[in-house]
Amino acid sequence: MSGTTKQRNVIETLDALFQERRRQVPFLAQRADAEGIERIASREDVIPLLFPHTVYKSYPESLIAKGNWRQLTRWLDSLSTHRVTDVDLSGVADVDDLIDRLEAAGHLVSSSSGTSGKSSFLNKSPRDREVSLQNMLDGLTDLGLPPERTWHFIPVGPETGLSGHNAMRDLLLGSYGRPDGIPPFPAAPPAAGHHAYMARLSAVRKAMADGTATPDELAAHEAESAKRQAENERRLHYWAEQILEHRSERIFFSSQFASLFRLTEILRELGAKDGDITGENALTVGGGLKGHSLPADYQAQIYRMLNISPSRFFHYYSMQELNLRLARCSAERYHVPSGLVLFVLDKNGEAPAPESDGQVEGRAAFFDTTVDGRWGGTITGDKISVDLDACACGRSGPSIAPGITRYSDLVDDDKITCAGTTDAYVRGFIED
Amino acid sequence: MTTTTTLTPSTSKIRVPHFVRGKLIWGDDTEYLSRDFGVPFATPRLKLDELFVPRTQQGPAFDVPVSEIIDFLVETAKHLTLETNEYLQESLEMTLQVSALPRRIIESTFARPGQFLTREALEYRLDRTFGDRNLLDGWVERTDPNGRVSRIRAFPPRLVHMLAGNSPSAAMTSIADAALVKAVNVFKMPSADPFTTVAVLRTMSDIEPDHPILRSMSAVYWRGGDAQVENVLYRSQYFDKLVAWGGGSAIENAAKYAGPGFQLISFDPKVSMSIVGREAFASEETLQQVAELAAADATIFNQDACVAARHIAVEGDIGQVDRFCAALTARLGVDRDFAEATGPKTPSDIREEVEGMRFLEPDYRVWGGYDGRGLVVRSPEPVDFHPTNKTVNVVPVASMGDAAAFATVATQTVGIYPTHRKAEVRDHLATAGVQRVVKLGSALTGSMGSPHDGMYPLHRFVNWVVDDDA
Repeated sequence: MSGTTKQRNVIETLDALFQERRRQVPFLAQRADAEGIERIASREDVIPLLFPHTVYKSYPESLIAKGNWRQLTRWLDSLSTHRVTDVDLSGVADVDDLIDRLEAAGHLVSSSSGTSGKSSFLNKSPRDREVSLQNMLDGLTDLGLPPERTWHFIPVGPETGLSGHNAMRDLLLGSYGRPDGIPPFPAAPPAAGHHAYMARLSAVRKAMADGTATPDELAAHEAESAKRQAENERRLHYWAEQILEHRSERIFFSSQFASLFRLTEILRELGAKDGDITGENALTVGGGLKGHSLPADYQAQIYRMLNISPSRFFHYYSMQELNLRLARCSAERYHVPSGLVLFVLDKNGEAPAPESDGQVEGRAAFFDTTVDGRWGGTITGDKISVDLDACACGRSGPSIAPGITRYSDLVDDDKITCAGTTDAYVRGFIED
Repeated sequence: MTTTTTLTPSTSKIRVPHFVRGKLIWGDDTEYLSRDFGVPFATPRLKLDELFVPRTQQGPAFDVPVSEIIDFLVETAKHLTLETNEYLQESLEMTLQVSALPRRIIESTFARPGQFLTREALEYRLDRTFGDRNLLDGWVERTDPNGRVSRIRAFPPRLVHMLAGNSPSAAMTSIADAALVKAVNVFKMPSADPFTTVAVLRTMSDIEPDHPILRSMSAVYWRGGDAQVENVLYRSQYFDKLVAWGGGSAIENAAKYAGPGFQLISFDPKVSMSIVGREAFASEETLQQVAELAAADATIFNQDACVAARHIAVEGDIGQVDRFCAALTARLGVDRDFAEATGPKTPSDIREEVEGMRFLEPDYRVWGGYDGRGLVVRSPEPVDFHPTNKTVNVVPVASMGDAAAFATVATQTVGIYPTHRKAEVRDHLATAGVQRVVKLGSALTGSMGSPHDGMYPLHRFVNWVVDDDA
């Protein structure tokens, strides 16, 4: 297929999805009307219609504090393909209850907290979940790790109790976990009520800013936070002991870097040295550092301690807005899979960033054609650098260089102004 | 930036001179990038030893009578007129290259940055602050109820000022304040305006080149947060106080150096709000007038200033509040001395939140657009986002007293309509942390000799020293 034909097919796909979704997703219809966009005739046409990731937290936070679930679902409906009008909201006490009810009605809402402390809510359909799970297995298989139940499986954590995370954990356990594998951490799942906890965190933060939080409320919140941290620490200790007991057997880790790094620290505290763990272990990691600051060589430290080689490490770039993952290749670059359309935009996310010598740098934006529960266009907060030519690994098509940064980390640190925000007056709230 | 300048093309390097204890220093030794527009500028090398007299010596202005200092400042003000002052003209052209504001508004701020410097005003201010001006010039004797005699002096301090890049009058204010207390001063100039402080000092230097006040002042640039400079300079052995205007990571970083003997005097970053009473709905004409006053306060520097109102509590029913919102929206899109009819576009994060609210009518309602002409959002309580770029959040309240709940320790100015009802809410507002209550539409003006940010700044600047006979 020639490049032009392929390009035309992409635009046809985008337009077909646009025509369908604008009738389904009210927020998209509103945006399209405001921009005067009737159809997608070029890649540029879709740019004003890509949703910044912040769209999914554009509800007023007070709706949660006041338990105004009807308004919150109205808001969610405006961003959804499938109507959110059929949800039983009677007796809903907190966000966890709400998420359960939404899930019972087929809305697998994915929620996560951002740097502001306000949680996002993305409506995903069962089909979205299916695609995402299958994409994980495909990525692992492409790397040379097809499903076979010969591994100890360790979901390092932290355990969130979120149904999307649970589904991924169960999939990996069911696909890779040997029947006689390391048993799960025996304590009761600490993360029950995760959303309610995050909502409380957010509410306390807001109350601090408003000046209404009492010292006792703050102390209670800090105690709860410390308790959750201690529970997580106990869990990591449990895994560390299990790893040392099974040090020559194959272990499959699923985690985030911050937890993994803490795990290697605990292993070291228990006396383990690089090379002690000899099983040919595998790892999959999604997401970045989430605000944790780790030593520059944290990845190398993790690989040495846990005996992970690049051929057994499924490293990808993705986000909760996408079903599909951009797998990292042997040349350490992230490749765009079919089904996903990459845009590199200017800093403000308004126009394509200029290309030069087959290179383009700017704000990452995607259209995931597999997204079913929402509009599939997303503008990220990430600054990426893309090579449009063939990659050293042999594949053609654009590839994203490692070293993805967040625009929010690139603010002017020498700018002084008298205009402030209340946030500057709220000290010491760190995300879980 | 659309404004073109004739002096220097925006791609070429700007030369930023330093002013070191009365002398102008040129040099291309160190290059920086102004982050706002990525314009490179070059400064002379920083020689830390030369910036100030050591603590082993008295400052050059310690024994200059305050009346002579006032003479010098008043004379300076006469020369601070944009049409005739080439330093200000040059500074204006350079500021245009790094500022987000258009020429017309920058010109307004440069027109007469010293207009508040009259002998009457300065004397009034010193009298309100110190009670007795003689405290600045020498040791004022007094006798306590036990008959013990002591002498007090508001002794000149050693100050390092971290200036905000807001306006030339801010630079003039800092210089005047530093001069009035006869301090030994280092001004750390902001990247958003590393020019104007030096322009004012050059103007003063032309009037009297070797004046002790000028020998007490250095105005230099280094990149805020540069530990190679700040970790060396920010010590009690060199300075008594760090005077920090505004907020941002540069200030937060500098504040870490505060400790025994090196105090922080912080003019915190602030937000402002307005309260509109039910009297606004007395007639359509009144409503229009009140909307205009509210818009004037909300649009100051296109809302990029601490005194610019962001939230307005309106006493009335939803129907009335909505009429106010509509009238306000119209008045936001008007050219003013310190605001553009069409300012910078609404940032995307605000746009997204506001679009989400459009689905939550009737609890929420939106007026205006995202084109920079003005956006008004009515919500049952203050919105989560920080309104900027001429975005105003209107919150209905049943009574004016309820609006005090929206004020916090971050709130600076509260503009109130009608004026006579300020008395009704000022105690509640002050309890919440508010430091300034004004009549609606007057956020940018003020009377002389008033406290600022909850203090009399000059009173905090000086070192209060006692010579006690007891």
